[in-house]
Amino acid sequence: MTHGRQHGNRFFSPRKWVDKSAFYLMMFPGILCLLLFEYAPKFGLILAFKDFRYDKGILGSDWCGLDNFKYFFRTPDAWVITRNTVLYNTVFIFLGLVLAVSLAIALNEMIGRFSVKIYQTVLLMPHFLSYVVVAYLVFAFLSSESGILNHVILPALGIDPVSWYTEAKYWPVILVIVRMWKTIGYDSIVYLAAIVGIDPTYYEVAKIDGANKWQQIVHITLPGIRTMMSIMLIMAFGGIFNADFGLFYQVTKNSGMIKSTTAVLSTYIYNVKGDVGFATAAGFYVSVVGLVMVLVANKITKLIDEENSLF
Amino acid sequence: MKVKKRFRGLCLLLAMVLLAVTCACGSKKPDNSDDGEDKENPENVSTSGYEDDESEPYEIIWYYVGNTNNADQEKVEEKINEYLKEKINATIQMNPLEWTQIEGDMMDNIMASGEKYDLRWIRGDAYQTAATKGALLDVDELMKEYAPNTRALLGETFIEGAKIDGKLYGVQANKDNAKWIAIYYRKDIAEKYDMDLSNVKSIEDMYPFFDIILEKEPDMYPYGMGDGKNPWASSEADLIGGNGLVGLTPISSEIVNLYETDLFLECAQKARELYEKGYVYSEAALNDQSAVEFRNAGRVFAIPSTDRPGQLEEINSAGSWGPGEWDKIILSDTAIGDTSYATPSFMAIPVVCENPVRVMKFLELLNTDEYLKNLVDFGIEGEHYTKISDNRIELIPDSGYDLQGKQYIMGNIMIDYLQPGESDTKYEEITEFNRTAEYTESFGFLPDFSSVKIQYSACQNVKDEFFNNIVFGAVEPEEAIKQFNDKLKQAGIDEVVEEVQNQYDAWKATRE
Repeated sequence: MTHGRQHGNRFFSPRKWVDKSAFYLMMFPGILCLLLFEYAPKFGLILAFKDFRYDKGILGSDWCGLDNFKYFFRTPDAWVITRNTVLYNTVFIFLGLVLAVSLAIALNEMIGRFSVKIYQTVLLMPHFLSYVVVAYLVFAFLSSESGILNHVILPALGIDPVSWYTEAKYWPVILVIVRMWKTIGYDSIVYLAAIVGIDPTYYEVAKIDGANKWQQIVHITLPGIRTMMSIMLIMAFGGIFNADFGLFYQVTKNSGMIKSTTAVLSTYIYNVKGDVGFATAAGFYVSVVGLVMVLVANKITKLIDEENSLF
Repeated sequence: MKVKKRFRGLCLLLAMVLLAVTCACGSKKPDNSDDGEDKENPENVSTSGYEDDESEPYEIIWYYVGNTNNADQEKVEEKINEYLKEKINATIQMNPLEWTQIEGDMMDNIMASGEKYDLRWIRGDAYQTAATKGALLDVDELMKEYAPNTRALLGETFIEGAKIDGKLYGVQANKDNAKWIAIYYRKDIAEKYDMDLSNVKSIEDMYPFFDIILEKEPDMYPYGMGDGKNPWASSEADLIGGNGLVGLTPISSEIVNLYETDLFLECAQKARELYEKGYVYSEAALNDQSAVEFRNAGRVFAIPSTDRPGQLEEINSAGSWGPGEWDKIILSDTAIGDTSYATPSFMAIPVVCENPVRVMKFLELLNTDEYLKNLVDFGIEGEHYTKISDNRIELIPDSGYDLQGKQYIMGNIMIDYLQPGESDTKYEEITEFNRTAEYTESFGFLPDFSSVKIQYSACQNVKDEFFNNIVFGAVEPEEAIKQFNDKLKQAGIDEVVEEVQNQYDAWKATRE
C-alpha cells in the first residue's frame, strides 16, 4: 500500500529516485553532454548584439544593438537565401517522403530475401559517402574540362556544352537529384521498419476479403505507417532552416555565379568569414525561424489529426 | 492500447533527441569564440610600460608560412632554440602552415578562440582587418625600445606606411617595395619549339606561341590564370586597402569603385579572350589556386607574375615553381610601388601574447642576426646546405629542410645567403630598385573600414559571388559586371567609397 502511494506521483520522492537510480545513472552522461555542448554555447548568442573585438573579449565588447542584423538584411541576400533554404527543404521533405515511402513499400513487397539485401545495400551506399566525395562524383559529370555530360552525353544528343558551374538555372534540379540519390535509401529503411511492424493479420483479413495489392497498400500499409510519417515530417520541418551544408557547399564547389539558386543560410553564414557578430546574428535568425516552423508544423498536424502531433 | 502509448512515448523521446540535435546545428559558428576568459589578460600587457624578466624562460609560439613536410623541422628547431636560449633565454615552437591555412579558416579560428600564441605571419589586407578588430598588439613603442636596429633598417617612412590610425600592428619584412609586371615562361619548352620571345611586349604577342603549345603539348595549359595571376592583378589599378574593393586608377585621383572602371572591364575582356581561345584552365574560378598547382606540376607554359630583381634566380635555384627552367619577360617600363604591394608581409604579435618584449627581441634577432635568419631559412650547415663562400651556399637536395623560396617573407631578406645563379649584387640591386621605383600617390595610405563595417562586409560578400568568374574569364564580362555593380550599390559601395575618400583627403592633408 505504501509502495503504491509513493510510486504514484511525486517527482521528487526519494524512493522513486532510488528505484530508478540505475536509469538516472545511465542518462547522466548523455544529459551532461547535452548541457555542455548544446546548452552552454547558447550563451554565445549575446555576440549577435555585440561589436566583437578580440582584445575586449565576449563580455567586454561593446553592445551594438541590432547592427549585426542590419548587415544581414542589407542586400537582397537575406530574402534570396531564406527563399532558397525553405524551398529546397520543402522539396526535399515532400519528394523525399514520397520516394522513401514508395521505395520502402516496394522493398517490402519484394520476394526473395537475397535480392532485397542487394537493393538495400545499393540504395544505402550513397548515405555513407562524404559530401566531399559526392562533390567530386558530381564534378566528374559537370566539369567543363573533362565532364561526362559535356564531353559524352550532350554531344551524343547534339546539344551544346553547358558551363554548369556558372549557370544558376540548372542547380535546383541538380541539387534535388543529388540529395535524393544520397538520402532516400536511408530514409526508406526507417519506413520499412515501420511497415514490417504492421500486424500481418490485417493483410490476411484483407486478402480473404479480396483486396488486391494496391488496396492493401492504400488501406493498410499507409495508415499503418502514418504516425511514423507525421513524426518524420514534423522533425524535418524543425530543420527546414538547417540546410544540408555539405550539399550546398561542397557539391556546388562554393561557386560564386550560381549563388542565386544555391546560397542557403548555412553556407551564407559560413561565408561570412571573420566577423563573429554577423555570423552569430545570422545563426540566431535561423534558430528563431526554425523554432517557429516546428510550432507551426505541430499545430497543423494537430488540426488534422490530434493523435499524431508531438505536443 | 498500452502498446500504442508506449510507442508514443518512445517517439516523443526520439523526437526530443533529434530536435535537440537539429536545433544545435544552427548555432555551431559562435562556439568558436567561447573562451572569453582567456582574453582578459591582455589588459595588463597593453599598458605602456613593458617589462621583461629575462631570467624567466619563455616559449614563443610562432605561426608562419613554410613547408609543412620538412622531416628535419624538429632538428632545426632544436638548433634554433639552443641559440635563442643563450641569446634571450627563449625557445620557439615553430608551426609552419600552408598558405591556405594561414590565410584561411585555421588561423581565423585560432584568433577567434583566444588560444595563446605569440607571433604570426600576416598579409597586408588581413593585417588591416585583424588590427581593426583588436586582434593585434600595437608594437610601435615596443619596436622603438627593443628592435631599434630593425626599425632603422626599415626606415621611418616605410613604417609610417603600415600604420593604421597612428598605430603600428606588426613588423614588416625588409624586402622589395615595388613591382614590375612580368610574364614568366618555361625556357626549356620555348627552346624545344624554337620560340623567339624577344619581341614580346604584351600578352597578345604571346598568342602565336600559345597556339603552338595548344597544338603540341596536349597536357599543358599555355597560360596560368588564378588568384593574383590574371589580367586584373597585373593591371595598373591601385587597390586601396589591399583587396581591392575601392581604389584609384592611373587616370583618376579620386577614390572610386574599381569594378565600375573601364580598366576593370578591359581586364575582364582580356581574360575572357584568353578563356575563349582555350589558353587557360577553364575551371580556375572553382579553384583559384589551380594555376599554382598546375605550374608546380609542370603543366603551365607561361604565367603572369609580379617581378623584382633576383626573383627569377631564386625560383630557378630553389625549384619552387616545379620542374623545368623559367625565364621572364618584363612588361612594365618602370617599377611601381603601391601600398598594397609594399606592405603585404608582417610578423605580428597578437594581443594574447604574454610576453611581447621577448617576442620583439626575437624579431630583432630574426632581422639582424645573420646566423639565426639563415638557420630559419636554410637549416643547418653541412646537413641542409653546404657553404661555398662567405655568403653563398648550395642547398643539398632532399635534405629534410627546405623553405621552398618562402625566405622572402620571413624578415630581412638582405642578410640571406645567396644561392647558385644569384647575382653577387642582388641586395644592392633590390635597394636600388626600391629607390628608383615610381611610387603611387597613395603610397603609405591604409584605410580603416570599421566605421562602414556593415557596408564593407556586405560588399565583400557580393565580391565573392562575382569576382573570380569575371577576372578568370568564365562569364561574359559586360552582363556580369553590370549585375556585380548593381549588387554592390545595394550593399552600400558608395558609402564605402565616400568614407575612404574622406580618410584619404585627411591623410593627404597631413602629408603636405
